[in-house]
This record gives sequence, C-alpha cells and structure tokens, in this order.
Amino acid sequence: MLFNSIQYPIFLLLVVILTFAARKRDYQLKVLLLASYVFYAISGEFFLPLLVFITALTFYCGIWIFTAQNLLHKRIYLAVSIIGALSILGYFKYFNFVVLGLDQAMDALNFSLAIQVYNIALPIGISFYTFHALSYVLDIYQGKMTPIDSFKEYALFVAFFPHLIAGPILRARDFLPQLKQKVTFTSENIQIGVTRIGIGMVKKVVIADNIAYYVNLVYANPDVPIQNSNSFFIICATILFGLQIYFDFSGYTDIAIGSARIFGYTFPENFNLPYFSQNPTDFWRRWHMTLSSYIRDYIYIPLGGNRKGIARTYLNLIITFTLCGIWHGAAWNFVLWGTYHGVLLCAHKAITTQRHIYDRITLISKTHFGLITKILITQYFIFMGWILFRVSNLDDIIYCVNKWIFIDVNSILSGFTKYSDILKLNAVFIGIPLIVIILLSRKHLKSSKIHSLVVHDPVEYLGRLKLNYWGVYLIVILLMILCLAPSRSPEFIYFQF
Amino acid sequence: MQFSEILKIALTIFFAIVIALILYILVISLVVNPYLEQGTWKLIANNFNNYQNESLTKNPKIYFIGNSQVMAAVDTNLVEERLANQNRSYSVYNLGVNFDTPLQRSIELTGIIHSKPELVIYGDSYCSFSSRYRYVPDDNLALVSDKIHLDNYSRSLFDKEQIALIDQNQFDQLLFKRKFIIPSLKQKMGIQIGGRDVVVNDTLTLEEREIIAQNPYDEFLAPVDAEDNVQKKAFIHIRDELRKNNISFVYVHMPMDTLRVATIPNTTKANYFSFLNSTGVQYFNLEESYPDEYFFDLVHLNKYGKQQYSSDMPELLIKELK
Repeated sequence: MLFNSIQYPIFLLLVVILTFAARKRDYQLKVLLLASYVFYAISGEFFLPLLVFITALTFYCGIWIFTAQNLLHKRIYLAVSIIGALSILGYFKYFNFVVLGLDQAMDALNFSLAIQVYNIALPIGISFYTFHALSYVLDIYQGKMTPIDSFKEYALFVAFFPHLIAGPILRARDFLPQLKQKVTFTSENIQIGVTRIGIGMVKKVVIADNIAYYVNLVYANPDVPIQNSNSFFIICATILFGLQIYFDFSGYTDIAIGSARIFGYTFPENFNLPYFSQNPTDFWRRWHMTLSSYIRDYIYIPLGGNRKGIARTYLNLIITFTLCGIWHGAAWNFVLWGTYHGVLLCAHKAITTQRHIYDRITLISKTHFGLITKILITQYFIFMGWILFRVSNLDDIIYCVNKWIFIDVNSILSGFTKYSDILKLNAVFIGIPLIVIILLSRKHLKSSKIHSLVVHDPVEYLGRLKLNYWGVYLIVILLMILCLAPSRSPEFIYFQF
Repeated sequence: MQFSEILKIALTIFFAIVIALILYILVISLVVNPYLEQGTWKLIANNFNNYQNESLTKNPKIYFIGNSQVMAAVDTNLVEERLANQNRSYSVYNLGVNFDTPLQRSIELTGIIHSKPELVIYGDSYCSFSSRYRYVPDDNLALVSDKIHLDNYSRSLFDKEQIALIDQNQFDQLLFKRKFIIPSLKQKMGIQIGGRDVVVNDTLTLEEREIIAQNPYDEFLAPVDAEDNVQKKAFIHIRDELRKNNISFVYVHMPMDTLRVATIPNTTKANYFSFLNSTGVQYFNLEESYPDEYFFDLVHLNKYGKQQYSSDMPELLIKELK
C-alpha cells in the first residue's frame, strides 16, 4: 500500500478508530501490530513470515546477549543475530549482484562458472526493518539498553507501519519507551500529524512526481539514449533529480512522521535543508539523518572512527560510505555513489585539518558571498553524486559526469534560448514569488507570523492554527493534490531499497 | 472535552474534503471539459458513438480506419460519390485517429463488429508495427474507459498500467482529468509554450521537409523488427475477429513522400512486408503511388492528394465489396 494512494488515508482512519476503540494499552498495541502486519502483507509479495522471523530472531538474541555469562557468549549471540538478519537481506538483495559479479570476473579470467541467476523478488522495506532490528541487539550488546520482556512491543517497534517501508530508521532505545504509554489521541497531535501528512503529500505528488517526468525525459527515455543528451539536458536533469529525490524522500518521511504523530508517537527527523549544507560533512548531518547517524554509530565508530590516526580515519570513512552505498541497492552505481561520498568526506577532512586553509575558509564564510560560495561548491559535488545514484550504466555515468564537469557552453546557451518560454514562465510563477517571500521575510516581517512560518517550524505553526483557518489550509492542500498531481504517481524512490 | 475537540477536527477534515472535491469538480466542469472537446481522444469517443449509432441501422457501410494519414487522405463524400457512380450505395466513414496503431484500434474492435460494416480498410504504415516509439497514449484509454469493451485476448495485449486505465471507474476518470488543468488554463490565458503556431499550407517547403526528414527521432522511422510484438498480435486479432464476423478486411500501406521513403531502413521495409505477407490479408502498397506535390509534409496528403486518393480508392476496393 502506497502512502500516496487513496487507500492509505482510509487505512489510517480505520486504524485510528480501532485504536481509539481499543482503549486499553495492551489492546491498542495488538491493534497497531495487527494493522502493521496487514499493511505489510498488502504492500507487496507475501513476505510477512520473513519480517516475523527477523523480529523473533533479534528479540530472543537480545535476551540471550543480555543474560549471557561471558563476553564470548555475548559475541556468539550477537553474531547469530547479525549473520541471521544480514544473510536474509543478502540473499534477497545481493545474491544476483554477487553471482553476476563473480561470473563477470571469472569470464575475464577465461573461466566459466555457469552460475544460475534466479528471479528473486525483493521484500519491500527489508533494508529498513533489518536495520531497526539490528539496532536493538547492537544497543543491548553495547550496554546502551536492556532487552524488553514484551515480544508484542518489540514486534511493533520493528513493524510499525508508518516507518516499516522506508524509515525513518528508528533506534529501539528511543522508540520502545514510547510504547509503554497508552495511546491517547489529542487534538494537538491529530492536527499536527494531519498537517505534516498534507505537506508530505504535496512534496511527493505535486512536486517530486511532476519533476520526475522531466528527469525521465533524459534519464529514462526509451526513445533517446542518455548519450544523445548535451550538457544542458544532463545538468538540468541532474539538478531536477536532486530536487526530485529530496522531495520524494522527505515527503515520504513527513507522511511517516505525521502518521506516527496522530498516535502520539515521535519519530526522529530525517532531513534538515540538505541543499543548504556548507560541506560534505554538513550534508550528511542534514540528509537522511537517521541513516547517517546509524552508520556512524554502528559501522564508523566500531571500525575505529577517527581515533586511530588520519589514514585509518580516511579508510573508515570510505568503508562506511561504500557500505552505505551498497545498502541503497545491489548495483555498481550505488557502490560508486557511496565511495564517492566517502572520498568527498575524506577530502573535506583533509582540508579542515590544514589549519591555515581552514582559517581562511572560516574567515571567508563569515561574509554572505563566502557562505553562498561554500554552499554552491558543496552542492556542485553533491549533485554530481546524484548522477552516480540515478544512472546505472557505467558508460552513461562516465558520459554524464563528463558533461557535468566539462560543460558545453554552446548547448547551455542554445538550451536557454530554445526553452526560454518555459524558463520565463517558471521565473514568473516560481522565481518572483520566491524572491518576494525572501525579501519580505528578511526586511519587514522578522517578528511576524509569516517569518515564524518560513524560518521556524511551518508544521507546528500550521498545525496550531484555529480550526477554521486550519480547515482552509486543508482545502488548499487537498486542492493542490487534486489539481496538480500527475495522472500517474510513481512509487517512492526509497521503496526499492 | 478532548473527545468533542477531536470530533470538531474530524468534522473540519470531512468538510475540507467535501469542499475541495466540489471546487475540483467545478474546475473540471468549467475549465477542463470544454478544453477536452478537442483532441485525439475526442476522435476516439466519436468513433465509439458512431459504432453505437450505426449498430442500430442496416445501411451498408465502409469504414476507413488507421492513423493520421487516413484522416488526411479520405474524403468520404468523394468516395461515396465514386461508388454511387458504379451503382454501389454505401455510407463511408473516415475513422482515422492520430497516432493510431493496431493495439490502439483494438479497443474499438467490439464496436466495429457490432455496427456490422461490409468492409473495413485499415490504412497505416511501418511505424505502427514497431515495438518501439509507438504506444497507446494514456488519454486515449482513460478518457474513453467507460466505452471500452475488450475481449479477453485484446485485454491480454495491454500492460498492467493500461488495463488499470481501461478499468477505471468514473471517480478515477474525474481524477485523471486533472492532468489537463494546466494546459486548459494556459489555453484560456492564451499562453503558448514552444513558439509559433503551425500554419497549414497546401504543402511544406522543400527546406521544411528536409528538416523533418533529417530528424532521426521522427516516429515514422520507428524500426520494425522481425520478432513478434503486441502491435502485430493486435493486427492479426483484428483480422481474425473481422473475418469471423464476415466483415471484409483490407490493408492499405499509405503513401509517402520520396524523402521519407528514402529514410526508411531496408530491414524495416523487409520485416514489415514479410509480416504483411504472413498475415494473408489483402493489401495495397501505395507507398510511392503519389507525387511529392500531393503531400502536405512527408506522410500526410494535402487537399490535392486527398482528392486523388479518394478517387482511386473505390477502383481498388470494388472487388472486395459483395
């Protein structure tokens, strides 16, 4: 079931009514768990037993790790849970990738393995719920939490439907305590939750899905191969893809956070204006924040982090982000994308460790011009990375990166001339209102409500409006979705992971 | 207290949904529906209406079906007149549709059969039998979904997303129409994206034709492979169903300008005619039967070409008529 389908709000409403009717905490948890399993079962193929198995495996391993008499036993139980969960993930997600890679490598050495490749369907959300479950055993092993007695509560943590398919990635120690409270529906939670869902829907179906059409004209056009596109098209499509993936994924996250909020649960934020980041490290503090903190805590730091010298720090960064790339998908372009970000982080670290350079950069970035330059340089590299993420064929990647770096100025000029009508139209409809909002919010409305709407937290602001104004907000949101969504809404990009 | 507040919120959400839906329906009724009075889907809707009306009469009739080349080439009055000169009284219909393909046409098959024409003349060219470029636009399925009755075989030729469009209910159709809100508003405001209006002259200049001929992505250049594809399957199915219902079926390979003929790859020509020969359908190859002056562009006949084509057709078809 997609969050952007008509079925989802109906499902959500039913679950809210049933949870409300259940009244006792124990019944409420049962309703939510059952609803989450139903949600999972109707979201894809019949992979529910897999979800239940990973839940049971990590639940009991958690108890055994905690009660083990010595470190060796703890390690054995930890290994069982990690190998068990990751081997399932590995089989479904990476089996064919590894087999094909082996086959190609053997081919290059003139050996024929004749390995069979199977058509393995990827269970929806497996990367996410495996990570949820592993955070539980890892936290217990590291002594950060104790196991819980209730399998039901633990199963709900792993399978709670708002985060089940594509996050945000929760930590057991953050979410499990919330399940100790009875679900109490409050007007504030419902209003803020619905507001957040509305914003998420607009991000997804109005912005991301409309952008997707233009991205696909270059990157998924069956009539025109990628290598027939000039710099103008590659640059436009790459920038648009960067915006598409942001609005798609942050829209999904908003719907997830909003849905959980209706029940009174708080999910961690996943995005914080990532395209305003001033360096690659800053980007990963703002982009898919729950994943980056997860890999920091469970991969980078256990590898030694920055505690074992410069060379080892760089190696750890590259290993961590290569794994992050592989987590995204079983394809070489994701491996490249992860490694690329590892290298970017190393480069940034190398620059910041040079004191004289770092001081100069700090001095420059105190000016508006310096700050904007830092942001633009960072985004140049971040968006170049999106080529690796979006394009799967190696030759196409090389072609696109080439066009991104060595810009064909003539194609840019002719592109702007050819599409001047569209660009002017967009400048009128988007650019001018944007500039007006920025100017107004800076100069005249610093202490006003509009300023708080723009700068602080629009969801909190809109969610606390008086009911009649809030009703108008809902009408506007619904009309935007009804009128401006494309007739076909593609799946969320992160569903495939 | 808390419950009454939640009830108020629920009512606010409910009324917001109702008001938004009413406003949306108003936009569709006042802005989109008038805009949709034009366009390819309207031609298809008219075809369905035609089949519906004709199924109630017993007049002998001839249908010209096919792509925009047929639309441009057939003057029904002239064909009727020429047939009448040979003591044949028929109602002739030009049911050509832009971007038509056999798969697209298969949605009308039930309607065609129920209206019982004596002869169906299918005019088309290479690209309609290609597995690439040619597709069935969503609009042509979604906007007439209430009129489509597919048999099981035709249904199997469409993909999952197309079937979803064909099967959509009236609410889905209402939502589908949102894609036309912006184009209809632009039209209302007189905003034209992409430059100049096309001025329909009797013929394009040689220079303009050469520019079109040099475009490697022109869909008339879509290659035809030797392999089977849904278009070929749909064509054979149309043949079978018409034959089963005693309706004569003739195929016309439509005329083209010499510049266009020169750009069609030989493999495409060979595969295309090999397929036509394999179907056992009577066909007329008119590819090079008309001089370049008879064309508006590289594939569509102008008014002189139309006159000539409509005069020639009865002569060719007379033996197919009972």
